[in-house]
Amino acid sequence: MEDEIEILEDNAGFAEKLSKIKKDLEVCRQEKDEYLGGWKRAKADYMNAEREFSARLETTNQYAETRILKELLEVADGFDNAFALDPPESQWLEGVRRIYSQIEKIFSKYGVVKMVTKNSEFDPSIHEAVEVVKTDQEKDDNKVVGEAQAGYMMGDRVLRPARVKVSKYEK
Amino acid sequence: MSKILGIDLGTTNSAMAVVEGGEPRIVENKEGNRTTPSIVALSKVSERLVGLLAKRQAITNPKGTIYSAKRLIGRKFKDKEVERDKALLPYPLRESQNGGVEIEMGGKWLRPEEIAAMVLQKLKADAEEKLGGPITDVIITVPAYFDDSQRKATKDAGEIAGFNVRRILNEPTAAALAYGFNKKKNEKVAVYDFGGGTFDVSVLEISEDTIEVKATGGDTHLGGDDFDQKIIEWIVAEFKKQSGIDIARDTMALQRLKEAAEKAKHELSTTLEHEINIPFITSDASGPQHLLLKFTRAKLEELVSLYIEKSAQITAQVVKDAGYTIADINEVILVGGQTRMPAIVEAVKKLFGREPNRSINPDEVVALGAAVQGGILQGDVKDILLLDVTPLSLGLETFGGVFTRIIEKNTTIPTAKTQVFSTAADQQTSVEIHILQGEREMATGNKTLGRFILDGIPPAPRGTPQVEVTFDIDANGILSVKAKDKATSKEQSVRIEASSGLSKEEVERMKQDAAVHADEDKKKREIIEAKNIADTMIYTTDKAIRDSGDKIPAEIKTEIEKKKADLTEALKGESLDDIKAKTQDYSISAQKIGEYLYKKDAPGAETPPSQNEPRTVEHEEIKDDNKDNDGKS
Repeated sequence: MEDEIEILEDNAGFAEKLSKIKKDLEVCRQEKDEYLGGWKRAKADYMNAEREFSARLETTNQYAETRILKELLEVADGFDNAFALDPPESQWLEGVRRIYSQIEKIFSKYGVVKMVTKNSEFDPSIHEAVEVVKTDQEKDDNKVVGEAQAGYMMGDRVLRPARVKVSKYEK
Repeated sequence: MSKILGIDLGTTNSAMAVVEGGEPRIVENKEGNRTTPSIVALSKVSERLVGLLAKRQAITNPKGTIYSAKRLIGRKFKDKEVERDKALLPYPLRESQNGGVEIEMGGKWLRPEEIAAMVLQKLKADAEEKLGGPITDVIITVPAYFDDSQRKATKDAGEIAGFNVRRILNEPTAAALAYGFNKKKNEKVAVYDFGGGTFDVSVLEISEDTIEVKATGGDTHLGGDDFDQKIIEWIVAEFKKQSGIDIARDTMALQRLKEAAEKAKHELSTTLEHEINIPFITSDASGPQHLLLKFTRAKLEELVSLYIEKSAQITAQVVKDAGYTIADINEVILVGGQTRMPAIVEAVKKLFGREPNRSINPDEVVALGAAVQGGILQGDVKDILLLDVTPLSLGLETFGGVFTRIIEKNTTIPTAKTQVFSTAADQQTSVEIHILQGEREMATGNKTLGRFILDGIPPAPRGTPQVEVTFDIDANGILSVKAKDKATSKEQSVRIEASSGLSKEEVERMKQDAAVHADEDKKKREIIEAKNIADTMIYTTDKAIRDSGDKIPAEIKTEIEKKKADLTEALKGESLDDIKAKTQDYSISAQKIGEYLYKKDAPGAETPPSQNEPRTVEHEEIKDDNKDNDGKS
């Protein structure tokens, strides 16, 4: 009798230990999964960041000049406005024109190209409407009919949209 | 699981951010911009335009361009706010069957949440393209004063856009999260948000695990756009005084002026005076007219002082409404682009008697905070909290007592770095690795963490042996330093437990110490480095003479000897210029050996000694490894 009880007790103790060990193992497994997951995620984040960084570096290099070129556009605007007044021809005016062409040379060197807007269909991806003009011709609807400020492309990117007058058909 | 996107769905502009590597960062839209106008339009050909494109065509299509839909979302048609906005908005509104608001766009009647959903849909598509994977889960922010119906409608907008909206978060709470204030306990935070079209103030109470909004206030029709308008009005009036021309009626000129006004406002945040210069702005009978105006920060502040005063009054009232006094507020956060204006920073500082938090871009702080909330839900931020940085640089002493950094301060740990060093003398068979911590240029100014000797290096001329030194810090800040002779693979190492055992004060003291001595240390280091270069040059030249002395004419040798004596004399002193000049002289003479030998037997001649030769105990870096701490002890 006594023996049997002892064995039973041992068994009970063993079972308890076993279940505790199993529980510990379960916790360990969960922790392992959590840590492995975290580690993988950190690695992935790092690799993604690295990839994105190199991509960004490329764009930055490519368009590093964008800011200064944008500021220069203002000077070009000044010339545009001046020439728009149709000043009388003179040697002096010719000289000023040549200064402007020097600026245009710099632009073309950096791939900056002035948009041609006249009579084109209004397209918000390259134009910004600043004024609407009514037209009674249906075929002239939504056309660029004037330019407040020239637009410029740099490669396939819009450096600055053209600020334009847009016609609107009204009966 | 994919990332949770944080979205600041604003009245005029929206922004989105995501947590990556434990840090929130803004996700740019397809056009490459960090914010997207919250504007939707239906073009003539029934194409849906969202963001910048919708904005650019707005005036050609006033009835089909919907902006400020946030002002209407979740509201009843009969709300006072809606009544007021109805008069200001150019697009038609009507009451829906359940008393809500409906907006007409392209002949269809839509709920404001459907408009908001179009903005969210664009953000979703752009984010998916940028991040390269599907985004399903999102956190969207709303003003703290939004009621249940407005929150519900915002959530619906997210769901219409195809998102699983994990949480609707208060904008000021998001700002507090971006600054990490959720870790502060029992603090009261005021958030002052001056955006393009709205002004909001909130007072938050941060407790153990909640951030509670105690009070809110503001003006839904006060913002940076009002400032721009004031500037434009002023310029128009000034120009009229100068030229007698009313430029306000010239749309083309007004366009140029608007841009100039905005630029002036931005410039005056950093400068005290700005020149508004628009040549050939217009012309009249007398010829072309130019606009040239001096605009000062003082003038700008005078123009908008009423707005700033009003915002300060509202802020004081909100603090009072929260049941606090000004002195109870522990932190103030600035949100919204207009808070870049120095006068606003000053006004807030004066009101609260403390410096407001403004280190995070005020246009982006809310979106960044929403991403932080996403990170918390995802468990990302928890992980990163475990990552520490080394407060001070770690390195070793090299020839001449110079401190050579291996791991720079503020490096995230765990990390490991390896550099290869060499010997300073011929036949040197052991090197001492003296491990130091600190920011001083010279070893003596820094704290010694430990030292050990690696011996058994086979005798060789100086600069030849390669000793690889690895510094490895584990996540607990325990530093292991290992030195290995590459020829024999013999190695020695030491483990230093206390590398991060410095108190905050000690770290601060050491950093300040370095700052105070920066100039003097730099000079000292420069002299030592110059001496090392000279020393190496003498060594290599002597060696060249030893190796092929019989082939070199005596006059060259004599000249070199004389220059060497001069240089050796200079090396006894401490004059950097003198050492450099004498080194230069010596180098010119020494090069004659190479020139002579080269001329004599063209190919295969001795290379002239160059300044690129290894400097003594050497920095002859062969590679600079930076590995993750994977699998290492």
